[in-house]
Amino acid sequence: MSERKKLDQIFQEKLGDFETVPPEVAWENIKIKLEKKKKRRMIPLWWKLSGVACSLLLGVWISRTLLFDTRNDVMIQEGVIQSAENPKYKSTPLQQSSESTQIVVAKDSSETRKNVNETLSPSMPLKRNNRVATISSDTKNKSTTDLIYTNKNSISKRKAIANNTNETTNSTIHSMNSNRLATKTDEKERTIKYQEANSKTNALMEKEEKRHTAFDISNESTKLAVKDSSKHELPKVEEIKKTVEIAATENNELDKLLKEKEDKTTKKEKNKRWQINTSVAPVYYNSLTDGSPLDSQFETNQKEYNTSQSFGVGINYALSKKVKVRTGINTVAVNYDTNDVQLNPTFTGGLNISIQGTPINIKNIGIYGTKNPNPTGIINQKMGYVEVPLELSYQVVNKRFGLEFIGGVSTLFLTQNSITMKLEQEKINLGGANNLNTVHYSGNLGLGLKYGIMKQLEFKIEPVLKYQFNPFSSTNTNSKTYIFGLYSGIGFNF
Amino acid sequence: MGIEQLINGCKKNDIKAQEQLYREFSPKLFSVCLKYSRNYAEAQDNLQDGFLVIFKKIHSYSFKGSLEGWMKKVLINHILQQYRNEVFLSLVEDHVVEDVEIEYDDISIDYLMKIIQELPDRYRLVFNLNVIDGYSHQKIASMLNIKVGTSKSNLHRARMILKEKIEGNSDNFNSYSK
Repeated sequence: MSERKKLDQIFQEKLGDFETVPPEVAWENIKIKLEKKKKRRMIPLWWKLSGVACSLLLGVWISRTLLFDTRNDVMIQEGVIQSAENPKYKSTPLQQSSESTQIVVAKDSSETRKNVNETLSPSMPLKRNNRVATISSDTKNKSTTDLIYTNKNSISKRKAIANNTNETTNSTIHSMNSNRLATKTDEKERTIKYQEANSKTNALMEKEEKRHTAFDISNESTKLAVKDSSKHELPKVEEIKKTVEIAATENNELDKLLKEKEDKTTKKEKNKRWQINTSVAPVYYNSLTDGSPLDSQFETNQKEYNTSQSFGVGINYALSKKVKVRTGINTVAVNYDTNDVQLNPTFTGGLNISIQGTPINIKNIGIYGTKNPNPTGIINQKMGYVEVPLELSYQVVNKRFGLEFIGGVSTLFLTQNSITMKLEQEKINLGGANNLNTVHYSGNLGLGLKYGIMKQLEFKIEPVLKYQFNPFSSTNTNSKTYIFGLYSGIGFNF
Repeated sequence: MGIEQLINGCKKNDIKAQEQLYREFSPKLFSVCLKYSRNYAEAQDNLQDGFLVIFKKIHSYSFKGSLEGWMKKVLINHILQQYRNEVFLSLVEDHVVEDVEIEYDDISIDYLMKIIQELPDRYRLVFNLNVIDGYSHQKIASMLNIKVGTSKSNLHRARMILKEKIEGNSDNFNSYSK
């Protein structure tokens, strides 16, 4: 028996609510992939974080380097903008004399005051008042002291300044609100005080401090202005509050910006404390006396101190703005010739040079003696050292071109010790001297000259004299040797 | 664990919550996979990948509508992505006819499943979406990025094929097994 059913119904009925358990392996596969994802997620997170950190550092570095160079320009620009917006200030001597930061402050406070005034009295006649008020608020930074001197005849302490400024600013606002006739006289007074303000030059520190007080005052005074206006039951009180709030936040933001700038300048100095540099130098070896490093016998012999080279790397750390501590590692090899030395082949046990070999280990030079019974030649002594300096430098000039004094000590470790006899045709290795200290010290004194190639790279040249204190152990040498090096290289600041 | 706790657990990638969710809903969703896929193995793959998508997207589930409905929707969308881009020759659009009436005895689910799976991809998808899951042709057209007419035509073709298979193999209805 068959029943006629619509095809769709068959499928709907049979498959609509059909459920079947998937194979267990399906969950296992899902689980594996979920766990893999978790592990994968952990790594990208760290990558992201480190990426963020890197970009932050890079950002800081870029902004630091850019701001460092353009800081002055930016400040000037701000001043220009301000003067463009308020062309009436162009002629005022205050703006010319004041610092750029102060200009910014003045600008801000003037805008604040302007807003307040506009909301308080938007009518035409009071526009003149606004102008006066703006000027007065602008000159506030400097004229506060003068106001005290002239009007109040009181002390010049900062607290007093703050109080008086509040009073004066309040009174200004009052006068603006009440009548405009008074403003004419005010204006005159202001201009007089203004000129007085310019004539007085305060110390930089005082300026800075006043700037901060001016900030506080401007905040406080705007608040007071609101209070006053509410007392007078002026319309649009809410609007005024808003403007004051906005002004207050603007002030705060400005304050933050200024602080940031200050911080940046200090950070800059902190961050560029390290320098690594390479150095290569022609080294001039010499002695203050005629004494021979080998033996007193050679005092009368003519000596030729030769020029050699020194190579090394150094690292500097700036302890302060001017003082740096320096260290590093150099290799240096010096040599000199003692002329007119005669070889004496009759010495027992083989050939010898005319001195009685105390400071010299004589090697068997065999056959050479037989050619010429008494040959004369040159003894060349070569000494190689690894030098570890520890020096301080004091910066005298630090601009693109820099100059510093260098002083310190070096520890020198003996690495090479050889004596060679140069005859007419032959060159005989005689061995090494036994009177050389394995470790000796030198006192260093020099000049450091640098020239900034890029922001972080500089070319350096440092003529340094290194007097050797105790290179020789034996007392029968009357030699006082020194090394003069003309160290040049590239320094990288970080 | 309540359903909300379960979902929140899954949102936090808690493997136990994920397993519990899977255990609870996989039979229902696996049947969907079987209907929409070409064969059992592909159905399993689609289930696995579909659940991974569900776990990935579960943070966007905002408790509006049933969880099962949401999961099914996500799963179907995932499967459609697998098959809708398959190359498929466009067919002449026939007029849609009335539902085909057939005679049937006790046709097994397995057999029905088999013949659905054997349908060409587009026919299978359209048939499932429209007949089993009740999507309109307009919706199907947008889901598969085809014309409404094409959807209707595909459905008609699917029905014809299914009918032919059922009628032609009425003797084997009970003998088919997967």
